[in-house]
Amino acid sequence: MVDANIDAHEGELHEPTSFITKYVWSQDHKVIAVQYAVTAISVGLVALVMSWLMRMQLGFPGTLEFIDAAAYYQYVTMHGMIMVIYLLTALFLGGFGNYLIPLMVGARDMVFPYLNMLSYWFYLLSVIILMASFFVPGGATGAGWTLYPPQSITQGTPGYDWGIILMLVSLIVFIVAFTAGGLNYTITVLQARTRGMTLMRMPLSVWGIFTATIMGLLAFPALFVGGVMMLLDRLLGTSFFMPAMVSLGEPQTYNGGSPLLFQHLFWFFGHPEVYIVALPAFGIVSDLISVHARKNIFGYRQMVWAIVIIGALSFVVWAHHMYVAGMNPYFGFFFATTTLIIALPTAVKVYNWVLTLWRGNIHLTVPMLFAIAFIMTFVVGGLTGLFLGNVVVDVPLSDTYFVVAHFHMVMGVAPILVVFGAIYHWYPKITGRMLNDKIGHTHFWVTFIGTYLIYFPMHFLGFVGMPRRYYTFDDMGFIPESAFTLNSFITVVAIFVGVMQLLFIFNMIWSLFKGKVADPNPWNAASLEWQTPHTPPKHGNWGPALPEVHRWAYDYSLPGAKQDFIPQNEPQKKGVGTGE
Amino acid sequence: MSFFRQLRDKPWDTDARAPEMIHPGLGDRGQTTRKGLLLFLAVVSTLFFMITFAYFETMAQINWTPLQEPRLLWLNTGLIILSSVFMQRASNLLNAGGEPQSAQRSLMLAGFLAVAFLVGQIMAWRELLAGGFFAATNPSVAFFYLITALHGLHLFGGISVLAVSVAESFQQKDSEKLLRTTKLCTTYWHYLLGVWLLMFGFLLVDYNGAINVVALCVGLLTGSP
Repeated sequence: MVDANIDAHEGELHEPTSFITKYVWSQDHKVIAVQYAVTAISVGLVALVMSWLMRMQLGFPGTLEFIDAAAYYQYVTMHGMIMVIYLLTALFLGGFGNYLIPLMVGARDMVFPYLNMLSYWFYLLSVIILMASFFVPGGATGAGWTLYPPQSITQGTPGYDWGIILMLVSLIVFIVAFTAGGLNYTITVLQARTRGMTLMRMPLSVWGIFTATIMGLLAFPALFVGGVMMLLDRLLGTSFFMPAMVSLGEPQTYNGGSPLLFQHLFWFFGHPEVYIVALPAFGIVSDLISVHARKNIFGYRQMVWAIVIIGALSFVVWAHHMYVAGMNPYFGFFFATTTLIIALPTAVKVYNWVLTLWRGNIHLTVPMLFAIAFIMTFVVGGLTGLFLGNVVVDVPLSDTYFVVAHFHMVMGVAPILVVFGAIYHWYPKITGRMLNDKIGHTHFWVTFIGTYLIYFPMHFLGFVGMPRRYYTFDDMGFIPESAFTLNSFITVVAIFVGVMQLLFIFNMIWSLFKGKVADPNPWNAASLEWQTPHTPPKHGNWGPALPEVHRWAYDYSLPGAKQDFIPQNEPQKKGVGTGE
Repeated sequence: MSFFRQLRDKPWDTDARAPEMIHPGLGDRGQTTRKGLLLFLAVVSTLFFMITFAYFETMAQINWTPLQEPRLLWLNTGLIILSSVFMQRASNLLNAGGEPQSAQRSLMLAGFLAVAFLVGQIMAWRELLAGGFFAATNPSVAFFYLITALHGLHLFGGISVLAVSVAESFQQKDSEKLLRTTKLCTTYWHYLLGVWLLMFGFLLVDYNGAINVVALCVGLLTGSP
């Protein structure tokens, strides 16, 4: 199991020969990465359709007759859960983590390939369980993605019968999958770096994924415990989270549980989860900007420190999601303070990205466009986070569309922009072909402008007090007519932008067969993954001998150098300047 | 810590040393697996920490009814301690360069004792169930089942690995692999023993349990249990 062939420094690689071992039960990190990515994007499309249905109800209430209140809540819940966990977490760590870590640190594969394979199959199982919940009696759960008890397991909530059970089981299976994968990513970074690859010579993408993985490993157990306990509450009638209560006129058998306890467990996972998604995005975007601006990343060490500090701080801010649940004012003060402190390392990162662009030789390629769009979107979403981090401002804005706008900007759209940029950037390495540039530009501009047309108005909706999570807004005199017009507008744009994402899917499939054949290093990047002997890299990545690393990943535009980049595996020469 | 020391590196500076002097490359397999195990144990620790947190949080509620833990648990605790002792003994024998056969008996005994512990836990469950303590009865009972079940599942995983992996090493007559697996299993065993002792302690310290512990200690000291 653990004695896989990655120990072979040189020569002799046991390449799988049959179709099944090569592409289905594969232990190759590159195949597993693609399996992860395809599954995540597919399930993400389901969540995209959910968002269209929600928007239809909000923009044009009653037009689609099959959307009743229960269906609406099911869409809300499944959209949120799928996007955050089954798409973003799985895609960044299972997809990009799997593909990039071994290639970027100069390893032949992950250190536990068998475990890595299991990780994917458990992930797929969790997705299947989740999808099955659409088809069981009562449908998927409609408890909201936070699954707060007591309502999530009380009769009357959609999906009370089966949906919530499948959701919890699916999450538990997902966490098992994540743990198997996470052990791999972390230990591969620590143990399988090639000769000369110190931690501080790693590209920031690896740093982001590495830190996010450790956070995931420490945060997911909280959700695991919460999930198991709630499952027991639902199935065995325990009262971990369930207080004594009367439901539909009937006294319940529950007694003495604490709903607030679940909120603590959930958000102890839930807040780091934001950064589990954001840190890989931070890392990847740093690399995209550096490569496409032909400049070394500004303040590499600060960038690494900021990633580590953000990772650590994100474990002490969770209760800012619970201000309205009622808490001791001193607690509120503490969590507001830690929340605002996180803005400092985050601001350092933003400044450093901008300073990397400053006087750089900016190539407005599609990946670069997405990277710049990320910085802008992240800043907008981050600034509204400062509002919501303060108790006094959060209380009135909580549960309005302002919050919806905030978190979609900062952890929905911003990371997705990075996902797009990263796919445009690494697609040539993964497939050996370039994505179509024209389609790429169209996709970018529609997505970027669309984002702002969709989410900017939502801030306003929040200010006028439009509550989130509501199925209908009948009899709410305080909401002006213009708000409803805006809602219709948002819906039209959202559906258009959503449909245009099919362009991207089309591009990926079309280019696979008809795309321009890619150079081994089309962006002239210095990091190790572009220096493989074959494109796409073959099993074992590096041919007969592992690469040797002589420098960091950001030697761009050095004085005296022949080209405007020097690959990491090129030996140091006299007379060629260094990055600083 | 070398990790934090490395964070001070200035990677943009030229370093003329040979790459293997700067970083030696792919780590040793044994070390890699050990680090993997330790990281996994960190994850499991978080899991049990969260349960402990939930447990104490719930215990603080006014309507907490303490559970009278089955006395069988004390016997089970003895079994799991012995199991750990035999694992350590097997590990020591192999480490000192002993023949694989010499450790075989200790390993089997350790495995057997671990299984006995699990059986004992199930019997404790049955005792509680027979006494009418179902998971839904009150939170303290529910926590008892939850904690023992999660701990038992982890031990069950360990026993499976021990059975498969160690049997494989014996079949392949690979003494190096046997040593490595035994060492890893020993770490895991000691860890689960530690978790059990902590969890058992926590289960006892709810109000009634604490009184029982005090009564037991007093009994032992005065010689009248």
